[in-house]
Amino acid sequence: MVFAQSRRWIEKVDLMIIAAITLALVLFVPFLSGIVSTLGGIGTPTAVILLVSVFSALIAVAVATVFRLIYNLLSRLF
Amino acid sequence: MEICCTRPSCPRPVNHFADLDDLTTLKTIQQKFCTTCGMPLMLLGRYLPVRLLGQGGFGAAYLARDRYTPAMRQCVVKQFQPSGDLSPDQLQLAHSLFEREGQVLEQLGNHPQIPDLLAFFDLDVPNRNASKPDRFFYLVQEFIDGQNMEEELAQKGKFSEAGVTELLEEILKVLKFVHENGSIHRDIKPSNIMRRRDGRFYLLDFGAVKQVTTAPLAGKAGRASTGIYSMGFAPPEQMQGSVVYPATDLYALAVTCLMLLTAKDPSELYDAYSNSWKWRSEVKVSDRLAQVFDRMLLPTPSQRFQSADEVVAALQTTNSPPPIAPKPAPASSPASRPASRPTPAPVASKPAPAAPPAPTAPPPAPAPVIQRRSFSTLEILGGAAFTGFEGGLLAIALASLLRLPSILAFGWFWWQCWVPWFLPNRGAGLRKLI
Repeated sequence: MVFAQSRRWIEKVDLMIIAAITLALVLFVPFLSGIVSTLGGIGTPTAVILLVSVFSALIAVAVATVFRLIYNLLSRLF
Repeated sequence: MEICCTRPSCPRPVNHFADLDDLTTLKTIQQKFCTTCGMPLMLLGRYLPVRLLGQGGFGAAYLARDRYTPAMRQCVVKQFQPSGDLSPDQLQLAHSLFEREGQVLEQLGNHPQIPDLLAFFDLDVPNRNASKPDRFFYLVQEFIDGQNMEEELAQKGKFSEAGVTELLEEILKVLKFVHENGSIHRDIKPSNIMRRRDGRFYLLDFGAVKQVTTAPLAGKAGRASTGIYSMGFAPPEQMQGSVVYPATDLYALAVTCLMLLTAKDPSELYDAYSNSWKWRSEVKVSDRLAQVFDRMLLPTPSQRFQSADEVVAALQTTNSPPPIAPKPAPASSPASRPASRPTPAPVASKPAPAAPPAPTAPPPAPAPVIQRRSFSTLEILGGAAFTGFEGGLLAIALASLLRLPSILAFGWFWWQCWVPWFLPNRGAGLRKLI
C-alpha cells in the first residue's frame, strides 16, 4: 500500500475511498473485530475501533513529520 | 517547490522553497535568489528552471515552468555554457552558433514538428567575487514530452521496417521545410529526433544549423563546415570541413534509420576497408527502401538525392529502382534562392579554429521527462495519516482473524490481577487469599 502511494497509483480520493471501505468492513463484519470484544470494559466496540485507528493515524503523522524534518535538515547539511 | 540555480559554478544548485507550493505566492512573488550563490532563479521573472535535463559541450538544458501561463506551461531553458578550455576564437564561434540556433528556431519554429522558440535573452548577474557582472545567455523553447529515438531504441529494441519508414517520411517532411527555408540541420542523429507521447515526430537541436542563404558565394550550396558534427552520422564532405548540402542531412538521416533498424552503432555498419556501408547483411528490408538508403548513403553528395522531395518520391514509386546515375551538382539551387537575410558573413563562416575538425559535443537535446512529481508536505502528511489509519484497522482485523487474542487476553488477565494491588484496599484480597 505504501509502495502504491509512492508510485501515485492511489491518490487523494482513492485514499478516502479505501479508508472508508476498510473502516466499514472492520466495523460491520464481527469476524474482523472479534478482538475488540475480548478486551471489553473500555467502551463500545465501535468507539474502540475508531479510537485505535485515529490514534494510529496521528502517530503515523507524527513519525512522518519527524522523519521529514530530519531528512530536510540532513539534505541541507550535505 | 524546487528551483534549479543556473549559475554554472553554483556548488548547490537545487533550492527548496516551501512557500512556493502555494500557487498564488508563486505567481505573485517578485523574484527568488539562490540560497548558495545569490543567482536570480526566476529568469526574466518568468521561467523557473525545475530540473537539469542534460549537459553538453556547449551548454545545459533545464526543464522549466513558465509561471505567466495559466497552466504553468513546461518549457526547455537552454543555457549557453561552453566548457572552460576554449580559445577566444572557439568561444566566439560557439556563441555565434548559439545565436544562430535562436534565429533559426524563430524562423522555423512555426512548423508543427519543430519546437517553438519562446524567448532568447542575455542576463547580467552581479558576481560576489568579481567586480564585473557575469553574463549568461539563454534560449527558451517549447518542451516536447516524449522520448528521443536513442532512448526508444534502448527501451524497445530494433525498429520495424514500417516504424522506420514512418519516421523517415515524417522527418523528410521537416527536412524539406528546413531546407526550403535555407537552412541545413547538420546534426541529425537518433538523439535529436523525438517522438512526443501522441506519436508526432519532432526534429530537435538546431545548435549546429547552417543558413545557406547567408552565403554570398554564387554557385555553392553551403559553406565551410564548422567542425561540429556527430561521428558516424556525418558524411565525408562534412568531416573534411568542406561545404555542406541538403544531401548532407539526407546522409545523416539514412545512417540514423539504419541504426534504428539494426540497433548497431554506425561504426559497426561502416566498412572502412572498402569505404562503404555494410548493412544489408544485418537486416532484411524491402528492395525499394534498401535502394533508397543506398543512394542516400553514397559518399559523393552529387550522387545522392538532392532534396527531401526526391527521397519521398523514390519511396512512393512502387515500380522502378531509382537510378544511381550521377546528377548534376546542385550548383544553382541555393544560389537562386532570394537571400532573405543579407547579413554579412557570420563568424562561423571561418573554418573551425582547430585544423582537423574535431567532433565537438553539440548542445544537449532535452531529455524526456518520465519522472514522478515529488510529494508536497501536505501530501506526505495525508499519506501518513492514511497509512496509519489503515494500519490500525488492519491490526484489529488481523488480530481477530488470526485468533491472536491470546496475547491480549494474557495482558488483560495480568491487568485484572494487578490492578487490585494498586487499589487502596489492596491488602484485603491478599489477606483473603491467605
